[in-house]
Amino acid sequence: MYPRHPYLSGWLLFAVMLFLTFFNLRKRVPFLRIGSTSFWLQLHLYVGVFSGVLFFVHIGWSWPAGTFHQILAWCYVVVFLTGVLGLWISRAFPRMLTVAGYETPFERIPYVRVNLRREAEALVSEGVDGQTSPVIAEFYSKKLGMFFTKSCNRWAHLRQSRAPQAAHVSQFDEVQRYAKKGEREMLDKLRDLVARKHMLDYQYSLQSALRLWLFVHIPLSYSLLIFSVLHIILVHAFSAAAS
Amino acid sequence: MPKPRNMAKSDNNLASITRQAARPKRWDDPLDPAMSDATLDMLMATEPFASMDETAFPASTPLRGILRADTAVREYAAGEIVLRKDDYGTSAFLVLEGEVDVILRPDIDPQLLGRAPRIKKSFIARFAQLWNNNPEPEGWSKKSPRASDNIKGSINKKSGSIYLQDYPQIVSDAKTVALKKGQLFGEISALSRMPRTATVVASTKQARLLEFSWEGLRDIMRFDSALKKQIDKIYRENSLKTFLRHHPLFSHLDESEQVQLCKEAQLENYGEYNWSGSYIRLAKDGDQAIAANEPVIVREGEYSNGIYMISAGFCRVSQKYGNGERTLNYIGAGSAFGYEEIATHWKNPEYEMQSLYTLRSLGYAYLIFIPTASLEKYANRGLSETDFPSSPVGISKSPVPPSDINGDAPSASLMEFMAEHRFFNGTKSMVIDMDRCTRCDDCVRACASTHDGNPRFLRHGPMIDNLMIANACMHCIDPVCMIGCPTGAIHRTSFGGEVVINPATCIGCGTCAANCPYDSIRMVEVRSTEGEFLVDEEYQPIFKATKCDLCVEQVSGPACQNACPHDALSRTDLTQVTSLTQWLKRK
Repeated sequence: MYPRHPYLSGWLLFAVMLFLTFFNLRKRVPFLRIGSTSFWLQLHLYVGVFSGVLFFVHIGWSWPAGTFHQILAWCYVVVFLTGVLGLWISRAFPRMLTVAGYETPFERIPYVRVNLRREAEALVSEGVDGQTSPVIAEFYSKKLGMFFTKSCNRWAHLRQSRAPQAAHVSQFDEVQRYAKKGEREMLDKLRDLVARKHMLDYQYSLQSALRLWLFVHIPLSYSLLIFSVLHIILVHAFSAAAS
Repeated sequence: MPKPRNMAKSDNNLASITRQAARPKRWDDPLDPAMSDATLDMLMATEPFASMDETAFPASTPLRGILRADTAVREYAAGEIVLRKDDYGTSAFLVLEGEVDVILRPDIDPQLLGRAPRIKKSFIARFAQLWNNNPEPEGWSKKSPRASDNIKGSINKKSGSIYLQDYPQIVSDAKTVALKKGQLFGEISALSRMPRTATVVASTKQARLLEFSWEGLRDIMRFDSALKKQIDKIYRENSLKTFLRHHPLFSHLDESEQVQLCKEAQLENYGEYNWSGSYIRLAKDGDQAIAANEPVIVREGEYSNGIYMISAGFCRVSQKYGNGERTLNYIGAGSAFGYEEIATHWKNPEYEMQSLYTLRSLGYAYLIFIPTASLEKYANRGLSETDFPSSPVGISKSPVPPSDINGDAPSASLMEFMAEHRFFNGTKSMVIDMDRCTRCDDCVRACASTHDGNPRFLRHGPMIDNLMIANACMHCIDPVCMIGCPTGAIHRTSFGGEVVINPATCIGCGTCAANCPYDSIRMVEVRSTEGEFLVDEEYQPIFKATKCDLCVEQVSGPACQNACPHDALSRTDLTQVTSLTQWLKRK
């Protein structure tokens, strides 16, 4: 005779996982009148939490043995945790982005970055009174060239660290000692461009995180479903053989 | 396929991804393709066209050309509806033969007028969007009806038209005005971009009417001063009389008093009718430039010599604060300004009638001024400000936002933001709470999936605090984008009043996109259904205008709003600023 409890919780967990995966499909049919996506997200969250309880009930509050079952269990745990992480990111990061300012759509960030770099390079090469300042040119090429070329300080921005900005402030203060009056004005403009680039990097870091967690959560969800189907087949096959 | 002579070999790739097509032109799609030369000659011999000076019209827009392309002779039987109250129409009519009745009151039952639900996608059609959408964005489509065919949308397919059954019985108790040969109607709605104010029904056995598209009427008015004067006169008389008759201050007056009041009232225009052009130019110079260029109608501290009632357009109400002025409110059609001071004086004659606020025109404003002397004679003094009708802007009674009482008052900075960007014009603006928006772009993808693979808005726009007003069509009360469209492709839908573009008649001139002060219309390169970019004889790309149509064909409403998982996006009526503040304060 089948042990009823694990079968019941197992099938229920599978149904719940199907429902949770369905949320991604629902987002693809915005034209259907089946409740707003925000309503479905709320359902997704509550059912997701419920699935966590169900998962531990199903495994009997002990970590499963065997490679396949461990992979399956890890798969579930990672999907669950990335879901929790995604929820936290989705609640916390938007406000941080708004407060930081310099709102830029994600796809336009490379374009804005290139424009900032061109503006900075034009400023440096134009120089003062038509003459390029060797001090500032050297400072730009050594300290700022790469900074304007690519997205920087991703982790620092995610940690809300102000260290990269502080480092640039100190570098500017240092080079300002060797600059004459006209060059100082140029340095002030350059400071402004650097500040904007930091804000752009901040936007890039947080907006990337807001997107990237889904690249883990969704593919793993589908993997989990496939592993679950295999698990169901195996369990029923062996149960039938045992009986 | 012919290729340009100077096309280099390396340009062969261009030929492989393009296809030549005739560039659409104005009058490619005439209002009546069957308009014959005989009909045209008949029209040219009919007043008012017979007495028009053809030489006053430029060679590019001759009178005969306008009549051929922008007019159509329509025949109506007795009881047949010509136009219906509250429809958004883009055409005016001239009576050629017979008579029509303008039904003033009471209103006819909407069911009798043949109002039908808007055509929405069926259940299967909704699903079919998943695989039926053109794989290439913005494939060329000519399936939409002409804007001026709004009336046709509700035509009974069997009989070919809508009749009021037992018409004499229906209008037996109604107040009607008969229009005869040579009289014009529908021009107010067509030219002011407002809904029809009355239902018009053919009353004689055979009524022949000449339908003008609004762009045709506009062009004739531009080059014929007599018609312009006549239309101005009708416009002023009709709009003023209707407006005053329905205002609580004067609704108690009898006919003769109302006529007298109409004579004493003054009509005043402020700003430019097509204000978007100057606004866009000023916006580049900053907010201060915009405020400095707003015409002052009443200045704070001046003697209040009457009240201003707003018939069309918008005004800003402000008060001195420190060294500047603080915007207290913006008011629109249906609102009155200056009553508070006069009413206080009536109650307490020692109170000096000085204006408490400054009133400025925002863009274009059409005002009715009632002098204090006329108010003394005709106004119902028993009224308080709360007895005034609610206006589309919703803040008609007092410049101080009434929402203060509920704690929903918008902040001063929000009011300045709304007024400076003129967002109060929008009835369905896309507002985004950036504290909730995860920048996931699900709204953009949802829009693309319901609109030929091409999103009809930019998830970007002006911001204040955590509020963003995205570059999406706001479906304005005063849609300035419609001014200047040579073919009438941009129009309001008959039922919801949404501003939509008919791709079949859009010639891609870009006038609407240039006129839109909110940067909500995009010109896109169109493709064939095979994905090739369409180019004209000179290998220049063919464009068409695209914008948010508020998903008029979708049962579920705006896809962008439905698709937002975080409730961060809403299509909000910004004419009611309290609805915005309430939405922002929601949990």
